[in-house]
Amino acid sequence: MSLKFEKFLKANFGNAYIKECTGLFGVPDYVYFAKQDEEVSIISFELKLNNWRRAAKQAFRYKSFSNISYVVLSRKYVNPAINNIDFFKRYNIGLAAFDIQNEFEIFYKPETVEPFSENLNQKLIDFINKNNKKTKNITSIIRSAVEC
Amino acid sequence: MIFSPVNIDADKLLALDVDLKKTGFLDPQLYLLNEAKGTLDTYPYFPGNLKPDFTTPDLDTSQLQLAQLCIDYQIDNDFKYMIIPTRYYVDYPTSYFEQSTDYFVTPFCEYIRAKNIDKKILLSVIVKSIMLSDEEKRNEVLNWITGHQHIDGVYLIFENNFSSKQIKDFDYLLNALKFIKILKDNQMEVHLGYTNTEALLYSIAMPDSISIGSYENLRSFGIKRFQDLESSPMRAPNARLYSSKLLQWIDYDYIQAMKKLIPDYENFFDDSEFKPLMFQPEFKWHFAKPEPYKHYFYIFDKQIKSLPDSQTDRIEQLKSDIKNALILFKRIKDKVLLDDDSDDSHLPTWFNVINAYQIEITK
Repeated sequence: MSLKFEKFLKANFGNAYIKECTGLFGVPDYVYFAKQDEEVSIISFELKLNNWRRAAKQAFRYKSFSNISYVVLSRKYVNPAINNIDFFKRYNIGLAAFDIQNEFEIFYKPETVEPFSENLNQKLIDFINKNNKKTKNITSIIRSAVEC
Repeated sequence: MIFSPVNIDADKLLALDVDLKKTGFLDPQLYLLNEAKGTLDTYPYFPGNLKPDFTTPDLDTSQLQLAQLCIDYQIDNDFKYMIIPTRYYVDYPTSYFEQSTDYFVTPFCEYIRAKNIDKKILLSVIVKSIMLSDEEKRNEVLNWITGHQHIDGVYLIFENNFSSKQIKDFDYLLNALKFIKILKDNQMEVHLGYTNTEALLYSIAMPDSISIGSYENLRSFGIKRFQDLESSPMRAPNARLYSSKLLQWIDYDYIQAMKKLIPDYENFFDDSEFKPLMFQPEFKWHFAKPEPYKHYFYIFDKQIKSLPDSQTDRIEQLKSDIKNALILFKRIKDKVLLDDDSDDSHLPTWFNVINAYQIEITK
């Protein structure tokens, strides 16, 4: 699922991502970043086959350095998480499903917020600023003002 | 205070103020016999100083010399207790108790008696999980400990192989309490080493002392601390802060989340002279920074000392503390999604252990 998802991300949102980024709080499977002027927005993804609660705990950690954090589950096992969508809303964690047919569906788009830790956020931004990778279509996974 | 040879040179320890030593004891740390970790080989009784490549069979001929050197060193320091060391094995050999008696208990006790040393003797004992869970093994070790005439008590170490930061195993904790109780019922002094927050729980079995360790590897016993693993990669733990109100160490990165999401987040943490500095935005949190540990020593010492003297009152106090911690955690968990090493998942188990132990002592 991981390789397929990576191909999907690359095709749809560009190559501005870091895979299994270490040295932060937890190890997100993918960290996407979008640079606009001086601003850097960071979206983290935790990819899991099942066990939505464990994935949510990991995704919450990533909010220490990300503006948005998503749990992405296999479509086959996403229903228990959908049944607990309020859990994701309470902690402002995104929920999406992905399958091997490359279908990506978002069930909850979280609010874009400031990361909890300025230090970790800056550490990641410093790393990101060293490369020139570009994102595309990233707004489709970010909640717009109307959706808020 | 328990003095640790792997961390302090033998001569430096000798030069330390006697007042610091006369209420404490030495942990001889012969767990691996001849592994020269840290400053262990600066000690006169270190087996490698008696004979290069010292191995177990050498104990047959050197047991008395080792006992003399180890006891003489303890006397020179004027510690409160004389400690009989123990060996560590991953799987204890069938002859373990017999060997321990021959190599350590008998020569140490005989030498102490021959020198007319008027100090209490503690026997070091590492209790493995199997010795708690298996009744036959438990009885075997308890019979062995209580079967020595000249031993006044035990320096008891519960081996901790749990992957979680807090112990959440009901049977393990209840059996540990029962183990301490049996020793106390047999008029033995019980001094517990290498304990974390569960020291509070163990206190309801009324041991004589409980150690307070700073770093994680001093708050749970693992043999790695005594192995020379210079080439092995070591993963640094995340910085954590202890809260006596929560009965838990909270990962610093969660404290950052609490800061953003809970306006009065500072109130979940105790006041100390170190707190203002640690809560300043520019404080660089790192597991090796001294302030969180100094804060812990201050707070946990106060918490242990505030325990009531009577067992009944102590039990009720701890139950009330756990209930209060669970209420506070509910407030945190409304906003912050904690992982299993910073949350309250150990507390319901602890509460149940206390209730089960209460039934045990009223039998």
